[in-house]
Amino acid sequence: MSLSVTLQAALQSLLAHQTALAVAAQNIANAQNPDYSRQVARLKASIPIPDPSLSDGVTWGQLGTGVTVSEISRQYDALLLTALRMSSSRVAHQRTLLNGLERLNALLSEPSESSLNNLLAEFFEAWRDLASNPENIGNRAIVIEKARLVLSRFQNLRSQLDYEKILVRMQFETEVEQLNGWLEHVARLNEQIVAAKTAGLQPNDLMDERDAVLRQIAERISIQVFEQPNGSVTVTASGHELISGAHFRSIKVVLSPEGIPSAVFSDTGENLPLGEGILAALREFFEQVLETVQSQLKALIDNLAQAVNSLHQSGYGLDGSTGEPFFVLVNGEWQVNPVLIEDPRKLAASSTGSAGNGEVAESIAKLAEEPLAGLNGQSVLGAYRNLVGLVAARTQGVQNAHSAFSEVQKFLQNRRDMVSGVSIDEELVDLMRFQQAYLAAARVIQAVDNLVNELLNRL
Amino acid sequence: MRITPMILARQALSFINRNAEVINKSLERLGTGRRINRAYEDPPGTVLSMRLQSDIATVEGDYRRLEQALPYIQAADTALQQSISVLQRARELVLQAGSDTLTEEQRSAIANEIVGLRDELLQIANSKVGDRYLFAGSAILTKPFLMDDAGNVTYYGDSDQLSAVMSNGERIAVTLDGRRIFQDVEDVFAVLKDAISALKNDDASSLRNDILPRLDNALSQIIRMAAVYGAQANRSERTMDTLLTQETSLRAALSPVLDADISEEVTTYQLRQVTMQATLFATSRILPLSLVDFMA
Repeated sequence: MSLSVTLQAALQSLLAHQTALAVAAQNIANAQNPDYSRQVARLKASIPIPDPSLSDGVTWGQLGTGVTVSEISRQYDALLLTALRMSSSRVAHQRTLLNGLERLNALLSEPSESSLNNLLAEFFEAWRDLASNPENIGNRAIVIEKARLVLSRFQNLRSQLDYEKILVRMQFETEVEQLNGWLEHVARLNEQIVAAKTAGLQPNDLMDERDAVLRQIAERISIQVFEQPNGSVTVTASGHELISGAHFRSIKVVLSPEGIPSAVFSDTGENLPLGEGILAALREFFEQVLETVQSQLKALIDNLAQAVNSLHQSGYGLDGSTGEPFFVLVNGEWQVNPVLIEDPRKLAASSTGSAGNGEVAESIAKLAEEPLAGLNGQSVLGAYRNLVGLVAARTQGVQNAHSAFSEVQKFLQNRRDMVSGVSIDEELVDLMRFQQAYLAAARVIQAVDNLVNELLNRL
Repeated sequence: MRITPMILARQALSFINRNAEVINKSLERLGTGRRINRAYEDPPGTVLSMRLQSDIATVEGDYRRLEQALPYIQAADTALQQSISVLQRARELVLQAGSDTLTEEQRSAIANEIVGLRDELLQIANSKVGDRYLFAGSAILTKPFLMDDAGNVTYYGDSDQLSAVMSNGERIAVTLDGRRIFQDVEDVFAVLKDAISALKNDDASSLRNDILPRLDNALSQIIRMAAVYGAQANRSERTMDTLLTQETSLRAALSPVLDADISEEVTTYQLRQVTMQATLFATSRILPLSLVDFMA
């Protein structure tokens, strides 16, 4: 054996612990980076050499030559990452739905003094007041005014729902654009990671970045991720390949005739299965909530107008006029018949033509709680209450799902951090350990140096 | 378990958020005085409150309509009572005139008085409150009783009636079919006309045997109608009391659904504030802990 072997071992120790210190420094630097996975320098004894001085007479013994860093490993749990991605899809889905539904609740603004429910109730009461005072011009004017308030509220709601649809469509388009960016990003990272691995490097930080981007994708659509032996990942959405190696397929938005947005592959035009996530939630909100609410509101006002009209046309105004509709359609919008606004005496409250008869007005007032065939046997007020109740119940359900899924998400994030997160205290302890080892190695070099000096001086 | 600073921070933040959410909701309820500020906070409660609110509007409407109808009902009641006393006076006079001891001159004086009574009755039958004739049925803008030169009175109203309409479908008559009061089985005006001509003809026996029983019939006809109408006037006033009670109980039912329970909210608010303080205190003590502080 020779002193040079010892010197070599001490040198290796110095270098290995220097690397370990550098890794600890990197960990500490990234302690607050949520996407970072903790790295660990794996120390391994270097290959021993046979030494004649350790011979037992038959074979030579082996002598250690020091330590090397065999790899800088990345601490992660692939299963947890998969679970986290699924949960991201789910949370993003509910969050998007909840945002939309909360806006819708604000639009309907029930319960409040100025709500449509109260406007409708006041409209029907105005008719009942007219039935009790059919000759009174003031009561006629009130009926017309209340009718205009109801109509303007309906029109207001409709145009706000239209605007909401435009917003949802725009958000869908922006999200798809971003999705394309993220898909391309993963494909690039795949390329870089494969290149690094081929060169024998450990692209830990690139892999962290790729996981972060995959989570961004998962927030938009449900994906499945398969890691390949060469280090790249293949990403599919319900069996449709999105990314393979350095290749990705871009997505574009197409609109149905009703304006409902969906995502298709740009190359083949096939539908992209959305699963859960922001895109699916936007579509669901558009199709199942906005469309439904809008069509139910339309059914409500159409049935109300038609029912009022058919009663009104059977009645007589104060001037004996008859057959006049109360509501008329102007460019697809219901309005109070301008003839009646011009001359409220033409408002037909009477069933006989006599000034003191208010039977038609009374029948119209009764429509409030009368089952209508066009509303599936619900009354006007009942149908509207149901609509508000359904939207509210849906919102409450989504809110509950969102907070439940968020809890799961937090739990999974904590589990991930238990494996991949950086504990500063732990790194500090490591720092002390490596520092001591480094100092000890330096002391070995000093000892060898002393020995050599001693030897040289004696000669 | 490895607990990293990120886990601690995430937990602390989520506790703080949860407390802040509850405090925010309490604050909102206290600020608005409402328990349900958005429909989805309580969907069944929202639907119930919408139902109760439209019910309250209906009950208020019923009360308003009765209140408006009441002056007409009372005026008609008074008019009917007046016509009863007019007819009673006419009956006394006819009874008096039926006696054989009266002179022709005296009968003619009585005839003049009855002419006055008939005119008064005609005026009562044409009673008007505001624009409405009370006894024209539903033809409320038409003067119901007109007398021609021969002294025959014709009814121009109809057999319908104007009613105050209640939400439960009940109808409270505001104007009446005048014919049923004045010209039903017995035509009151015709009786008086015949009485006048009998008086002028000095026909005491006809006064006794024909006019007097017919006057009795006419009187009982009006008294019967007045009783029906008076009963309805009474009922209207009672209904108004009932409506007030109904409104109070509807509002009482609405309050726990819609209104914030102030004392409960204040308690929640204070309790949560204590929890929040504890959370913040613990967080501020635990989060900064690090080995760094203890290394030389």
